[in-house]
Amino acid sequence: MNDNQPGVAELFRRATDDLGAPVDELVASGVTQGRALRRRRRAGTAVAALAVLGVIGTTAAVVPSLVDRGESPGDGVTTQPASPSLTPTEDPEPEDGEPRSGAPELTVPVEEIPATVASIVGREGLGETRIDALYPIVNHRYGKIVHFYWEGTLTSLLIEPVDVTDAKDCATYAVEGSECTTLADGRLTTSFLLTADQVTTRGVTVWSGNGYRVSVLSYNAPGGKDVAPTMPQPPLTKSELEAIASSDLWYA
Amino acid sequence: MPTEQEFEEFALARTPHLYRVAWLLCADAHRAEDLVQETLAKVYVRWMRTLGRPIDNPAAYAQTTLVRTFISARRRRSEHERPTDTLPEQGVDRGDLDLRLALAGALSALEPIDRAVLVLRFLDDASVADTAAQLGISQGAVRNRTMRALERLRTQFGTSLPDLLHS
Repeated sequence: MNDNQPGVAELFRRATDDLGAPVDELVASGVTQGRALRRRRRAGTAVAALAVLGVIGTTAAVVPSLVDRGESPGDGVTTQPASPSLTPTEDPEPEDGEPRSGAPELTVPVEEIPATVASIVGREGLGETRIDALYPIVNHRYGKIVHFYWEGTLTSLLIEPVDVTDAKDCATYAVEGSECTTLADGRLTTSFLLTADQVTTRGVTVWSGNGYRVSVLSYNAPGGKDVAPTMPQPPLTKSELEAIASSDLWYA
Repeated sequence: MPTEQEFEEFALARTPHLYRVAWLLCADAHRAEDLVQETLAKVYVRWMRTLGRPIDNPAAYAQTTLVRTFISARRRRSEHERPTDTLPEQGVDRGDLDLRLALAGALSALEPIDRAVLVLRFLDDASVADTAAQLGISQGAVRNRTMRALERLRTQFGTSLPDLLHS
């Protein structure tokens, strides 16, 4: 017994002995709410991507299917607004979405993603990582988003969990007017080249086959929209973006 | 692979206790039901994860989830306590009803975290260290809050506590 307060303990017990909790109803409602919460969290990282891309002119074209999900942009997002540090924020009880069963956790540290991209591309061009309120980092076990400069222009990399089949996901994710095609190794991919709000964006998404889709976007300006382009086309080519998005280094 | 049936078995067994804790925290039956449902939903999500370790101690996990959900909800909403003038329970004897009314009023006068400290320590018989861990505060804060909350409870009840207990 705690301290010398038997009266309080007895008081609490007496007052709650015959409360008559509606156990069956509470459990049924809890399960129903839990299922709904689980669905929302599965979509969380994808919605985080949308929130990030909200500052980019091609958003509506890139992720039209996500706009209709009606999710709160804040769900499942870990951000580091206006922080100069790349140290990931650890969430003791992650609320991230999960990929389908059997998918590996993403082991690549988010702060190492830009350098990994540079090693895949194999040429000079990597600049600073961009971290501010408009371009936050997302660092989940099952989802990563990071923005950095390449030849002075913005580049965004997004790794998101997929909890349906790749074919189904690609069908709803692909930009209007573009198609889901197959890489030489059989994995699904889609790509686009769009100009909106002055900025031209080239993007490639590859479905990993193990529960993720990896999107890489290269812009011809230092920002996603309403900034002056610094070169005629995005500096990373479609084949370079494909190499980045299809790399196995993200799961190593 | 976690199953929904296993979760339901756990929830059915654990919900009566969670409800008791929730009632003491909320001092209101309807809020207690909402809190238990929200807690079960969160535990369900964690339980049904297909990847990662299963929950080591589901009962403790559910209890901590409930207490933290209660405190964070109070912080988020900046709720003002509503004095309870009617209780939804029916079919209880008059003594218990008086006791609950008096206790609900007294608990409503406490800060949410003080209420949580008292409930953990005196309903669950949790140690200072366990209470501190569950609430994410220091052991010194638990001791101070316990003393302060008990003092307030005594003030609220005055000399009527023994009468209520023995009625």
